[in-house]
Amino acid sequence: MKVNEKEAVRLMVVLIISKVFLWDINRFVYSSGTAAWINAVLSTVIAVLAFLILSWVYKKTDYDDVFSCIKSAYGKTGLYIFGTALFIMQLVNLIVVLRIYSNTISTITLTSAPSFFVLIFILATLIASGYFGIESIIKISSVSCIVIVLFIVVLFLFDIPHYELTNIFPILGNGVSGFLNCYKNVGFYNEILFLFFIIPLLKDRKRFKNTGLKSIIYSGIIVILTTLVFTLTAPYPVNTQFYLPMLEISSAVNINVIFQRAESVFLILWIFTCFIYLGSAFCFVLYTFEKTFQISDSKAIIPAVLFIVVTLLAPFENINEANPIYGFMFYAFAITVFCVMTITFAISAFRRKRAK
Amino acid sequence: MKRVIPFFLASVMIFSLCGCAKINYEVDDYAYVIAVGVDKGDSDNLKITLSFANPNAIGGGSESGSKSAGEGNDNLINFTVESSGIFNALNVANDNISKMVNLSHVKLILFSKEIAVGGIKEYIEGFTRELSVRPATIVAVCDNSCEDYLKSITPKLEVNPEKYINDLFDKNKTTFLAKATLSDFFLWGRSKSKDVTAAYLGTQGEAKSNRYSEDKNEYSYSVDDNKTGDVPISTENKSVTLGTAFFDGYHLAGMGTNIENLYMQLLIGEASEVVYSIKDSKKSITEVSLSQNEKPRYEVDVSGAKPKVKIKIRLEADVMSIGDIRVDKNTYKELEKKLKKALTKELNTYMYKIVKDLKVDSIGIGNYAKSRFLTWQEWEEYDWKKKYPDLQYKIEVDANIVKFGLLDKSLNIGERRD
Repeated sequence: MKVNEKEAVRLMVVLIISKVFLWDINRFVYSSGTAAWINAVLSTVIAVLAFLILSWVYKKTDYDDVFSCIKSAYGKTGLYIFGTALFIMQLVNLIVVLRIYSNTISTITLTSAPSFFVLIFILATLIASGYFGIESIIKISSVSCIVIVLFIVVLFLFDIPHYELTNIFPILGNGVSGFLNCYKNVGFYNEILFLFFIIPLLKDRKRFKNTGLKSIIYSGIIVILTTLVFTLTAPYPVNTQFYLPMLEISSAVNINVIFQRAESVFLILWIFTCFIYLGSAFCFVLYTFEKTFQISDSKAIIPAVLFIVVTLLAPFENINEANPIYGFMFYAFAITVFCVMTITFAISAFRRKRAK
Repeated sequence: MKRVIPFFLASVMIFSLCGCAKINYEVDDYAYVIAVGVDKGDSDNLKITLSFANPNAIGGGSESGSKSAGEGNDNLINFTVESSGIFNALNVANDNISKMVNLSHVKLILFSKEIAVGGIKEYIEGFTRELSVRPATIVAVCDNSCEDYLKSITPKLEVNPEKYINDLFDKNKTTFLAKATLSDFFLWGRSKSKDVTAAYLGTQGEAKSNRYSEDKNEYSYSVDDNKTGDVPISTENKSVTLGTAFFDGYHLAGMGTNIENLYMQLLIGEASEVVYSIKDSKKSITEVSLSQNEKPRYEVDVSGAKPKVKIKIRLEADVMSIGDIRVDKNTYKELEKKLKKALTKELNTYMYKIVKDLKVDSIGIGNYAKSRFLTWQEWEEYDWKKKYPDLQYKIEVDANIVKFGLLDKSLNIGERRD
């Protein structure tokens, strides 16, 4: 099953904007205070530039598959090491995000349900995702993306009466020092790595660069708008206290007696993104293992990987224990995607050129 | 296998979705709290009053729902408990009533003046942390005892107490009632650029607390002004609005009269349509309806040692009732002048009270001042809170009379008598 550009962009957008439903918007607020939205703009611009470099170098390799590039750059042993590192990194990220999603959902709703109850549903989604494959998730996210974006826009519009324009002042927030830190927030677009994984599935592989750019720009617009709306709704520095900015935006909706309690909208968005993000992440973990160790059927390892996921969930009893690792993975992933991958593609391109 | 999976899923749905098994609580298993009152209890405890909606009385209509004055109100069932904390009180309530206490319909959180003076930060943060309590929940201050106030709520025109509280605080309908929500307190309580103003409630006919005497004579406004507590109404519902409660952060800083909320609304640009009275030298009273269709303009100057602000308010007025005055081309201009003069004087008095006396930034001038700084560090270094009492203000009111009602403006009863 091949996917077109539109479907690939929608998957990427859903994966990237899944972070706006977690704590991550606060990264911009912590860096730049009242100028958080400017920080988000700068981070998006840096992500676009970094992706342009990455795609340019990747194009030079002439490979359709990331793992072929890695193999050509570092050899077979190098592929094992690099692939294993990538597998572990994605696995840890999946586990941490899984813990955050399951614990937070039991805070927002299902408050009396034990966290393993929520976990069971998510694990069931992972199993289904693993068996049906990434193609099915792409098709689902293609529809879900429109619903998610629509609901986000509705929330933003309903919040207009609560916008306090003076919240964006002082206009430069924490000043130049805050803006200089914007490169750290480029990790918001880490999921662009998965675009390289689905290149073999693209109908028109030559439009890979356009797909990536559109993904970053479209999701960037949503990220910037969410940051701006969050700043307009809650003044700095009080807004740094909120664990879930998007939930705060939703709960602020209060138009007459009809449009209230928009947390239900947040919940729908949360469930959509949670299932799509975790399902996709699980598929890419399987894909990484399959490509690294050249196994013929990735479905065979689903029970084993699932067992590892459930076992490694145990140390993270609550969100506070998962958050430091989540923060670390945010940066580790960013360095891997935007630095290590660029270097790898450059080496691969260089070797290919030399071989020619 | 392809047939087994759909059959299995369908079976799961059939058995799980159509049953009436008592897995969780039903709607009628909950006791819905409409209002929470926080008073000082004995020793270090709090006295928490929970007002539950009585669905039996509400559902039964007004006849069964409302009783005459003195008999109390069946629509609200009050439960008072002494506890170390607000949420601990819920446990005690749960142990003593047959239903589960539910906070998802709380409309009003009341703090006694004693509690409010000491600061309400921990309570506000506690309620904000609780997901079931809405950010739009109204927060108000009670003169003496919140318990007494909640017991005195006996709405006569409304059976549903939740709707009564909602309508009472509806911004579009009230002029003299300050409205502050849980979200307002949480967002601005710690802010250095704005302070919150809440409603000041009490019980009619009750001995007033000592702090009423703090209402100074110089804060005397127009003919509509009443001294705090001298509520000029006679009603069977003994729960009344006494005035305005000014907060400095999370601490109660002082009280104000009902009409002060009108001035606040004019200054923040939210007085959509209010009635205002002007008294002339002949002691005849002209009532005009003021409409504020645009936000006031704030020009803040922070370049000097003392901050300065110029506030321009633009209003449109409709004549509602007029004394023995001939309204022609010249006299309505005179009326406009009087209106501008009276409003400017009263707004200046209000500003003096909040800036120089109470030192609270109720109208959020600090928010406008923030825009004069480029970075947060510069704003912090300026120390607005410290400089705020030195604020020099100038208010310009531009009020134009645009309508004279359905009666001919040239009609003059006095002339006909002559």
